[in-house]
Amino acid sequence: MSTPTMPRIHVSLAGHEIKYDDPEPNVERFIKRAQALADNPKSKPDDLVTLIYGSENPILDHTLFPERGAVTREVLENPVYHLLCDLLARKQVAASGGSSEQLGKRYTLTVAEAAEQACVTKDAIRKAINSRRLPSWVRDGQYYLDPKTLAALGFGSRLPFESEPFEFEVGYDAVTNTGMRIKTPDGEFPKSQNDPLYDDTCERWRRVAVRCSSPTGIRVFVLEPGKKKAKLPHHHFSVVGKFDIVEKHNSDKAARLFWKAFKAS
Amino acid sequence: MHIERASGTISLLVAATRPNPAALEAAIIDSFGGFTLYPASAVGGWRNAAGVTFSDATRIYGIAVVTIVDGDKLGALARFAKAFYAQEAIFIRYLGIIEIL
Repeated sequence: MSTPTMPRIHVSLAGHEIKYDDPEPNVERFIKRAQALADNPKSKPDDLVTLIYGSENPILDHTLFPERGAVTREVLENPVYHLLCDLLARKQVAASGGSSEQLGKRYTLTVAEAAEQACVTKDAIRKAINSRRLPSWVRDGQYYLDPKTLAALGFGSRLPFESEPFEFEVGYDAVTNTGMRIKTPDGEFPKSQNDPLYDDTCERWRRVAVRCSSPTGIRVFVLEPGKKKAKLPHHHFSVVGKFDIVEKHNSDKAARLFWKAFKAS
Repeated sequence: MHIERASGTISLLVAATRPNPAALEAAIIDSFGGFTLYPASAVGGWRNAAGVTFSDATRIYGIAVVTIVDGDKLGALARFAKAFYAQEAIFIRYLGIIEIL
């Protein structure tokens, strides 16, 4: 039985704790290499960019760009990536002759003040901070936010894109073996495969998928915010709102694979 | 702006003034799935339509485009980047052409 280990903690320039488990040896070596380059007074921020986003970084995706590493959603969720970004941020601040105190000055709102200003709950602000959707600064264990950024991002929106809520009625009809399911940022609905009817409203979204099944096969549609009101009907189920159908997967096998891999935002 | 069937890489140029650009990076991934960052030493600054020169350090995001480029999606990303960086204009480079949005 292995002994559980404490996660390692790296404190970022903005005061956030980046917790990560003991990395694989190759990742460990890469972190040390990046740290050494960051600590080298002769190196420049560009040298660090070249290393961190280069072909040798083992945590990046190496399929999107021929000779460089790429950050994908999976990478963005890896705390080691944020550790490396912090090394770069510190290097850039040092190169510019600035200081963390100067950078942190703009972050003046407490979470409670930000919530009041944005007309959302404190929990919503904390969630946005934790998901890195809202930049923040930590001082004395408290989060602080930049009022300009808060206003500029139109906070309250989960994502920076304009979208309106849409309604959906999905479910499964056992008599006709027909169903409609939907993947939204709030989850996949209906929760149960055999739920005959589930209706709800999706408030904040950017890209969702709808799966329509019938005895003849499966089709998947991808929806994104649109300017005109639209309806996607299937049997007695439907999705109604301002959206455009931006992708269709009509082949049964392709639709199944796409549906399985799809992540709503 | 509308771009059709471009394929390759779009470059998004922003000022490197934020130590925590994760929100912008999440927005890029939401729309385009992935990005890389290029060394910015080749870019010394830029000038806006009014002739004002900006000499900020620059971050150059390379965004992989593998299918049809959605102009609206790119426009939304540029609007977000402008708001996030409180920046007057955003430079986007694609197919060798620089566009100021």
